[in-house]
Parts: sequence; C-alpha cells; structure tokens
Amino acid sequence: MDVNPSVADDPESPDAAEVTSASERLDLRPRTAQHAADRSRRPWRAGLAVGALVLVVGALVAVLVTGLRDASTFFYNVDEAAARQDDLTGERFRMQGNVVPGSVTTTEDGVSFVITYAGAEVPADHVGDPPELFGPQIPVVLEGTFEGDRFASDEILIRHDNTYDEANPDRIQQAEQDAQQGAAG
Amino acid sequence: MTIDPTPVAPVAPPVDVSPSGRRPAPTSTSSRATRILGALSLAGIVALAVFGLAITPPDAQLGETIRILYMHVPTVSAAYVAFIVTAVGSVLYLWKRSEFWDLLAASSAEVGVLFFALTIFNGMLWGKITWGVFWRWEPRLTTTTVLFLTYLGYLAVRRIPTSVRTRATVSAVIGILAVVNIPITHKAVDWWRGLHQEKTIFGTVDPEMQGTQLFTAYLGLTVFLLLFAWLVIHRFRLAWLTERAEERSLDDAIAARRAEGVEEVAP
Repeated sequence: MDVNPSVADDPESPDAAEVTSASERLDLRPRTAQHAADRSRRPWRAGLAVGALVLVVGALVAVLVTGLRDASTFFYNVDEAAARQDDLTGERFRMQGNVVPGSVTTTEDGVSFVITYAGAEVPADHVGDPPELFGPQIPVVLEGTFEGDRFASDEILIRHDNTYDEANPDRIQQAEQDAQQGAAG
Repeated sequence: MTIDPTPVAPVAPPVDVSPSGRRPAPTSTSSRATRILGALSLAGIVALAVFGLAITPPDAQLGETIRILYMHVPTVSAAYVAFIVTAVGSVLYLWKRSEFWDLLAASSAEVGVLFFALTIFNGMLWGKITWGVFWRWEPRLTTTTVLFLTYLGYLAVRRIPTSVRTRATVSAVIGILAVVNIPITHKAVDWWRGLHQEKTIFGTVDPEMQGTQLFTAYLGLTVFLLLFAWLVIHRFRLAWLTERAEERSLDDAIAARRAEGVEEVAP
C-alpha cells in the first residue's frame, strides 16, 4: 500500500491510514480550501433558514391569535342561537343543527328549510346551491346572520360524523327510520 | 464525531466493523433490509389502491368519497408516529448526546412533515366534497395548522448554520415541546365544537365500520407505516453520510495543508 508518509506517520491524525486507503478508491487528492469552505461560501443559506423561521413563527402567531379565537366558538347550536337572538342580531356567526325532514323547499336563489337542535327550531333561507350531501336530518352548520326571526345563510357546511357504513339498501331504510323517529321524538 | 484515543494501526483494517467507525463511504443508502421493506411498501400500495378504489363498496352516506379515508387516516397516523419518533430521538439525544439520535429525530421529522402535508392536502379535498368547503378555522384544522407550522419551524431551525452540538440541542428541545400538540390536535374533535368528524382510529374505531371497509382502513395504516419506515431509514442514512462527507472534506483540507509542506501534488 502506497502510504503517504507525511500523513500516515502523523501520530496526531487518527484518520491517517483511513484517508490514504480511501484515496485509492476515490480521488481524494488534496483539493483547494474551497471544498472545505463550501458551507461558508453560501451565506444565503443561513439567511434562507432564518427567513423561513421568521415566516413560520409569524404564521404561528397569526394562527394562534385569529384561528383559536374563531375555533373556540366555531358554532352555536340552534337552541343557543335562538336564546341569544337579540345579542346575535347583526352579527355574523355559525349555527349548527339538523335539517327538519320535509321542511326543505327550493327558492329562486337557493333553498329554505327549518333547522333544529335540542327542541329549538329556526327557519333558514339559504342563498346558493346547497352541497351535495345536504338533505333531511343531515347535521349542518350554517354561516350567516339573523334577519328578523329567520336565519339568512350564505354557506352550508355539512357535519359528517364518524360512522361509516357500506352502502346497503337495508341500512339506508334503517337510517331513515331512525331519522323519522329522531324527528318525531 | 468521536475521536478514538487509542493509537492508530499503520495500515487500515480491511473494513471497519464499528457502526460509528470510519470506513469507506457506501455508495448507496440501500441495504437488503430496505430493499425488502421497499418492495413490501410498493406491493402494499398496489393492494391498497385495489382495495380502496375497487373492492370496497361506497359508503352509505359519503358515497365514493369514503375512499379518501383509506389514505387520510393512514397518512396522519404515519405523521404522528414520525413526530413521536422525533420526540423520542430528541429525548435520547439529550440523554446520550449521540449523533445517531439527533439525525434520527431530524430524519423522522422530515418524513413526518411530508406525510402531514399530504394529510392536509387530501383532507382539504375531502372537506370540499363533504363539508362543502376546503378550509375553516375550526378546532381540528386550527390545531393541525399549529402542529404543521411547529415542525416546519423545527426543520428551519436545523438549517441555520451553527455548531453540530448547538443545532442538535436546540432542535431536540423543540422536538420534545412540539409533540405536546399531538394529543391536543387528536382530542380537538372531542374538546371543542367543530366541523371535523370524531376520531376514526386510536380511541374510537367506528364500531359500525366493518367488513372490507375496516380491513382497508387497517391495510392503509400498515402500508403507510411500512412506507414511513422505509423512507426514514433512507433519510437517516443520507443524513449520516452527509455528516461524514462534511467531516471528510475537512479532513481532506487538513491533509492537503500538511501535504503541501512535504511535496508538490499534481493537480
């Protein structure tokens, strides 16, 4: 083995033998200092990392301030909204409840229906096409304002729960029965 | 990097067997084990696609969109596992001060961010179809955003040039603090009112879910955990080799300075 004496004989260098053996496979002949200085030659990398961090922290603060405020009361249930109707009039908020079966009628610019929760009922007028899953007994969150005793909605969000069923006619019948009973009781 | 205080043999041993020892750099990050893992992941993805897209029936309420669940739940589970691995690696780094745990934590965080971004993306598509909107600042989505940003911050911190030890220590602290948000995000659907449905897995696997739907959900989970393991092993090996390459370039420069004093080396 052609050992470079200047390196291999250096007792301070634990890498000496290794460097020489590696140089047989790889071209590791001395390069200029440029190679070792690769990292420091690219100061923009540090700037990029710090910039990214500042962006992330800024976004985090923004989300915590605005997002959590919004998320803490994402919606009022129909009964709560009805009870606080005077306070909430003129305010834009979200209201959650179930669509009363048989109450859905198509209007010229959307749909009208009655939304219910915990015994309270509020009639709602929605402007725009309802989402695909909208229908009787479906839990929905409406976004909008009170207009007198009616709720004027411009966005219907469907609240799906975590029950999954294989599509099956028997079960659909069962679900509809349950829905009817739920509406009656 | 640890320096062995024992005298160095004049001739290099054939191949160093020490796991942290200095040996010629491998030219690939793969091994027999990862090739098998990769093949299993690939086969699993094909099987998941077949089950998720063709064999499982549509859902009674959600229709065809249920199929997004077979990816959404596995990707978020893999991301959570990744972030937990990061936290464990961070704790063990602070305890053992070994490069292995630091690089494992970092590699796992990177793969976790990838899976988490995928989860947010396929979740937004699902939300658009079922809720009717891509996004609302409801509790689960808000805490998810906080979690995602925290790990982006972790990765950004790691890219600020500093000493290896400082980088490892600072990121380990972040890696431990950030994991606290996982139970908060996971439980957000129980604690606050929101749009997002309740937990599907880890807590309440829907008792109504059954047959091929349930099987496919667990198949997806298995496949994505395999994929996570495969990716994180490769990412770890790459990170390890990067560190070795940086050390070696420094060694080379030192060797070059020494050689200059002795003989002229042809360029």
